[in-house]
Amino acid sequence: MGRYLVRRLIGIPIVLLILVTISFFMMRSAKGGPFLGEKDIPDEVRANLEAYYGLDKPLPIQYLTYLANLARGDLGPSTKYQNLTVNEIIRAKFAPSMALGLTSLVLAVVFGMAAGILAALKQNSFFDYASMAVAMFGMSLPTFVVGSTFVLFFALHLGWFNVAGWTGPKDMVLPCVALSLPFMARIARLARAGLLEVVHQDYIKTARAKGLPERTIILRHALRGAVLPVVTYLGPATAFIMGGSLVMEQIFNIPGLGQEFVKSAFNRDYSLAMGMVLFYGTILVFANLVVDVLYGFIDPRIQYD
Amino acid sequence: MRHPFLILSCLALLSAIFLGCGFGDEERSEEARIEKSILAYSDGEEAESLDPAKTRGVTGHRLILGLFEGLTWPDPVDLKAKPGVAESWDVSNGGKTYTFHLRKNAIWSNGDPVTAEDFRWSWIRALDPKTAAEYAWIMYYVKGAQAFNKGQGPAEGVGVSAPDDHTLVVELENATPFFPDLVSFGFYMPVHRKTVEANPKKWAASPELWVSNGPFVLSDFRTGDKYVLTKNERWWNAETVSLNEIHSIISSDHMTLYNKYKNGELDWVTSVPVAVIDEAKTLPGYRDDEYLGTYYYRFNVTKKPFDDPRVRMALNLAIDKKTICEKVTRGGQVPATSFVPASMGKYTYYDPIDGLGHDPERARKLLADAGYPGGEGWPATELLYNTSESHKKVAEAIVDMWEKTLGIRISLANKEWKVYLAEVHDLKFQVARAGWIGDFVDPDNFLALFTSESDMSDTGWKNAEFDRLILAAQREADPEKRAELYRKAETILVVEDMPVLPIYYYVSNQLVAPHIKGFHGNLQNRHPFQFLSVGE
Repeated sequence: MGRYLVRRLIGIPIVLLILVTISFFMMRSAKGGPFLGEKDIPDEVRANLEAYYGLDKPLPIQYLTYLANLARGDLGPSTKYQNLTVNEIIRAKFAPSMALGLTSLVLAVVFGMAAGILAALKQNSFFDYASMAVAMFGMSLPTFVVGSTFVLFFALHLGWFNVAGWTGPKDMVLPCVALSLPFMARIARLARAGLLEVVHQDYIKTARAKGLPERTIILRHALRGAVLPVVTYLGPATAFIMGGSLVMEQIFNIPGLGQEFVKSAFNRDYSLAMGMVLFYGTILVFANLVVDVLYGFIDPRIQYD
Repeated sequence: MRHPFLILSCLALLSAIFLGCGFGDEERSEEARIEKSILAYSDGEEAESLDPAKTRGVTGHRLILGLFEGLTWPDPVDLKAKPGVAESWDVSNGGKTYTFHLRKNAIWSNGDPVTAEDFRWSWIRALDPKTAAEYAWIMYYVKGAQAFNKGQGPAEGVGVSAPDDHTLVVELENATPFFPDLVSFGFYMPVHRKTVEANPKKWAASPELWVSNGPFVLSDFRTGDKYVLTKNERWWNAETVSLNEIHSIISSDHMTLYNKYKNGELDWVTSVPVAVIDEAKTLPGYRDDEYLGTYYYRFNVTKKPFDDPRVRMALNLAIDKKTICEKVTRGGQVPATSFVPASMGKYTYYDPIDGLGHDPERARKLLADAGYPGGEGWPATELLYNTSESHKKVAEAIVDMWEKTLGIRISLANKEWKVYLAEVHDLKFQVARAGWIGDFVDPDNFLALFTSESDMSDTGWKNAEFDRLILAAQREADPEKRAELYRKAETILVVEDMPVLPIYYYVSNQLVAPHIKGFHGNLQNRHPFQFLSVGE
């Protein structure tokens, strides 16, 4: 395990460097630049701006300068937010995004697994069919539909919550629940399938034959079968939830990073967009590593060395 | 062994979530805001900067109008220049020299006196090429400003001087009758030199470093969340200010802002999504006021078929703009026949011309004369616009009108914002959607866009007579003669040659809660906060 971890950890900076390089050059190849606006500006003013941000230098020089700054932990200035650096923007906006994403993920895992396990244990019952039908529905609804509906009903109609904002735990309820639903649904189906596959295996029959209580059989022996497909899904789920959080952040006006991910691309705010790519890329790489390590704990058959 | 590990990781996860949530301050309810004289509003997007030299969009300008005080203020009713830091001003030298007399009791929020040198230094700093200010061109009316900003002249050559602490002398390139209005604009506002020099990149985003000279100061700022402005008790006119606090909410979703208004979480939103305009009209506080802007299509006159003015004119005459405004945009927009908004006549010496109306017969005849009778032989053409539901609806309606009236087919191309801008700037289009919002209330701000040397024309159109008229108008001190020259120029632009096709004049559709008092609709939607109050 140790050697495996080391190998993976060494690979991470290499992956990120490739990511940075590809993103850097792809971004610059897109038409349009940060200083184009509806109100056009005189060419000499544009020249001043490009000099100010170092965008007048040849592209390879800009790339190397970027890498040199990156090595010092400096992600550069934003061209859109003129008094903020990318580091400051990430530092200010990262907490709400993480809170939103992680809470939604936790809700999805806890309730999704509970539903999936119960459905598997009561296979072919009404609960099973009903919960899987609801899950199918939940997976198909786009997050912006769910989010907007929650706002209309719970905030505007019933008045239980604010329409938007991020001022306390109460403001987390609607966006986190809305964001968790499609993942909860998928996790429920995965957990159910995983458990069903395991519950008919010989070693479970043996456990039953030994006279172990059903609860012990499920929780200690069969649960791993349910957990493994869910854990597999957690890697890409982390990615999807971050993408979904962008929609929630917009609808609920949460001051997070999700919106910047898209806005920075629209604004051709190169430093900020690169910062977003790096930030989310790092999270994903580590999320996948955590998932792979968890496998080893859950399924003793998996060996890493 | 595994259970403690799992439990620990779960606990770590939960604490990561809850300790690091990044919650903002509790927003006040409507009752609390009324009681404490707090205004909560939103312009939508975050400002690029609160530095008067660096801001660009509406959000920043509105905040700067509350945080800083320029030589003059725009009157909230008629937008005319009213004394600000300048108590009075004299005009001499045929309208080319302005001598501003500054009041002696104006001070910065840290107690330092506001002097003429503050203005002089701030203007030079704003024009300095190293500051890289996008709006620098708005100061080109000052002598030597353009040369200095282009790096072709010295700072000493800029026509602004401070012979003593309370006198500011400005030399202009030409007689500029709207100069007193111009100096109320954000770019011309002073900044506190010591603060800016100590923290050139950070000061404008830091409440703890903040120093300004206006009725309010920046007391809190959370990027992506909101700005909080608090009354500046040190402002020389503070006893006339009724609001204690202003909360400017940042959001990129206008639907969210609309819902917040409906729920009483906001007192004022400055735009209404087109999708809910019919419902919005029924809400208390809905208003639409004419706005200083024109929505138009621009032609690329360097390529066929739009190199022929008859074709351009035919396309203009074929559009029923009244139907577009009533059935498509539905926000009270006004059909446009001139490029300069018609309302300018109510605010200045200039009455825009009455351009071409809706005349399908004449349109068909012109198109036939140009060589495309009934649309025969019409080449493949594309209408370019930036991706947006509202632009799409207008484009679809217009293209349909062209087809039904003239028999020509023009396809639609919507491109992402920056791509659209790049293609327009590089003249890689045939006909494209455009909009121009005025910066100040004078026809020059609209018409000078299309001179041969302007970088902002993006049409490829060059007309020597138009250039001559604009230059003559800019040099003319007498308002009547000036108006005549601009009218002749505008006639070339929208009647004779038509590189642009005006469609409608903008309207600001907004929601202003009835408990906000002192709000007057005006053409620029500028509402200095010191004139607003909160009451029952």
